Amino acid sequence: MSTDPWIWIMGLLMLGIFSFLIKENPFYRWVEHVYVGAAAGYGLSMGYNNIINQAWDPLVVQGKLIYIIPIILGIMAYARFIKPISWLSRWPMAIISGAGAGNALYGATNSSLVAQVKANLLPLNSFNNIFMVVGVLAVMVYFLFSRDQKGPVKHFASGGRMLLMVTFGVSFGNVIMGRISLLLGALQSIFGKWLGIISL
Amino acid sequence: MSFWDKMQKIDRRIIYALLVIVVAFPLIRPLGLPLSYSDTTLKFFDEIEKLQPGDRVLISLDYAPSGAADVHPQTVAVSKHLIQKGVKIAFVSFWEAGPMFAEQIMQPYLDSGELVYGEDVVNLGYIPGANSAIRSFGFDCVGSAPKDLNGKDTASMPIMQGIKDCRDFDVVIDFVMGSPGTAAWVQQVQGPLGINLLVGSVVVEVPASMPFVQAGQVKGLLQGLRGAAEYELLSGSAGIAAAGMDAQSLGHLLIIGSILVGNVAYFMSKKQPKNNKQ
Amino acid sequence: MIKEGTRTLLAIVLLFAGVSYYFITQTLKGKIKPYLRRIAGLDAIEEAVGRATEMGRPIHFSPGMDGFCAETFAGLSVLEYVTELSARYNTDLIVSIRVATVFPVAQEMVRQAYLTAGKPDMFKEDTVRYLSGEQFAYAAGAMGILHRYQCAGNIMMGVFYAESMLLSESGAQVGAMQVAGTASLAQIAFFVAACDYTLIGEELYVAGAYLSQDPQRLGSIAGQEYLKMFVMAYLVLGSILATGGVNFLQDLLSK
Repeated sequence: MSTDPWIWIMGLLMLGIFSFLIKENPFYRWVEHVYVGAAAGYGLSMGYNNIINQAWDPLVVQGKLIYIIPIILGIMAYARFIKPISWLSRWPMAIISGAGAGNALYGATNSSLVAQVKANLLPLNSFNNIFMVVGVLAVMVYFLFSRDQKGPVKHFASGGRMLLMVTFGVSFGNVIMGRISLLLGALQSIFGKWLGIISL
Repeated sequence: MSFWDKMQKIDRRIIYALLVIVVAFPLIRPLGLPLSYSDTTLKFFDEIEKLQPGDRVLISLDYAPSGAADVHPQTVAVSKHLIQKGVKIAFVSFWEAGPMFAEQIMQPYLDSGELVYGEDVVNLGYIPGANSAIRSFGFDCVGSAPKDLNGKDTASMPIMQGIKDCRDFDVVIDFVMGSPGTAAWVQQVQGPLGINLLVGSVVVEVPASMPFVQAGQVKGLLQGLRGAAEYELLSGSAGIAAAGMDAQSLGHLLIIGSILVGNVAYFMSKKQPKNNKQ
Repeated sequence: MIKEGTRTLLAIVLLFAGVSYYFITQTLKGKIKPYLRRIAGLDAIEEAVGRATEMGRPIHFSPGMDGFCAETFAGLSVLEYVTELSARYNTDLIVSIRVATVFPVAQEMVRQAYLTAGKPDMFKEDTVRYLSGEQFAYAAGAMGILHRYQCAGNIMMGVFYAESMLLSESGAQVGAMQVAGTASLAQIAFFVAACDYTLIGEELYVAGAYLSQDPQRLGSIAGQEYLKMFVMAYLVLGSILATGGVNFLQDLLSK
């Protein structure tokens, strides 16, 4: 059994979170608040470090004057707390949204559209290839919204929906596998690091 | 209430308790169930095997403690293999908690003198800005991370000499549990620069990563804890992931059993009223 | 002048932008009236709010776990609609937020929606709550809200990760009617299993336009419909040509 008080705190907090599985209770609620508070504190410290490393140091220590522009934009984001000039906070938001969209434009078009279409232009000479191409088309038909799904289109779209459900089933299985890994990690910490029943 | 109705309404706490017992038991008494290798793990392993001593690899740690149980064992197994091969590693992170995991991996090797910091390994720290940061780092590594985690200049470090953009790394590996992650690396860096990208992912994200593997944008993929276990066995150093595979298999059996019982009970209880009427 | 390998990409971006622009402007001028088919999950939202009113319990809304992206914007559109419904039915609304930048926008949208509905008093300072930027700390907080307030409705629209099951399972435990929508492939499965209605992938994007009947968004979706049909035709033609050994359309994408 561990003699490190931090390991004990870790173990007890884990049990607190797990106690939710029995019922919502004051112990869980307490741990929940500790967790939210600790995460807020960690976020605050990272935020402070980011301001120092990404803004203050480059501008003041390294003398990179170009950093004045993002710093001013960053300060403008806080204008929302001062009613008469709260409109100023929309500018940095607009720049963040615009830059994000612009950045995504090339990457998303190239990697998620062109490369994927290219990978699906398959010769229809095997069952797998035919299934792949027809499957992609069926799912795309399901996601057409400008027409009511009637007649043969409805059947084709239903096929697409079924394929989606199969994918979700696979996904569900994967997620269960992931969740068991997380439980496994928690139990390894409790039985290994805390109680010392198993060797890690 | 009939037997089948009862089977549908098993108290969830009983299932939780069973799951904990079933997962905990093989941790204490391992069963040694066999394990097969998936194609994506073999491809991942082959890419690493091609590396020569002195080659440089970038490892991006894009995960947090909440998902670490599924992905961190992958990072441990791959880093260990790379270090054994004499490959140099630069760690970077676009998730706040990432640098902490890099420290955990590096520290024992630095303490034992097996690795020299700045020469064999470096922790470039956390770079905020998500997708934009990944793009910026991809195109200008030193410019986007001028200082390492401890505030030292990276430009003067031997490991970073000659590194302009991510193409200068022989392999880039992203260990990931969400966003920003695989999609950002593929869209922002792999697509424009054509880097050699490998991914180690929490199993939840695997279906989302598969199209990138199929299109050849990601060369190899480790899938959750199982991927880590497969990699540990392939590289000849069984560790914490391989030890957990028995527990995972038994956990899956319990879940499969629960799904079967639930579905059989559902259909049987639907059938019963008809029988009563007759 | 244009880099090798990016010409087709540029042409595609221009084509997509042009088609979208055409449909948006034509819809704004009233020359085109795009039709969108009914998505079952959306009508369920009104049912959820109505049910909460009957039970005298609040509605919980989450716009997801990510910052400003298409899914979050769609989630916020649904939030606006949910706020209008909450004002109409006099039902309390609790919005929990994970991303700091989304917080002021959500707060403003809810405030405005109550104002427009003529019920500014329904907006309270804690109607929209920032819980935590850390994924599971947020989830723990949102689960706490669902249990403490015994929410009768739980609406989740946006990007979700591993916390999706925690949130929807908590909603199910308190007997809330749940409507979810996300494009996160891994999480849709959980929402389908645990919620009463789920908007799958692009249905979430369409939801915003369907609810608001905003001509700009309707026009944008109308344009996308034609582009999807273009991609489908390209796939069919490309595959048929590839079967005959002609890889012209495949090569075109690399130019």
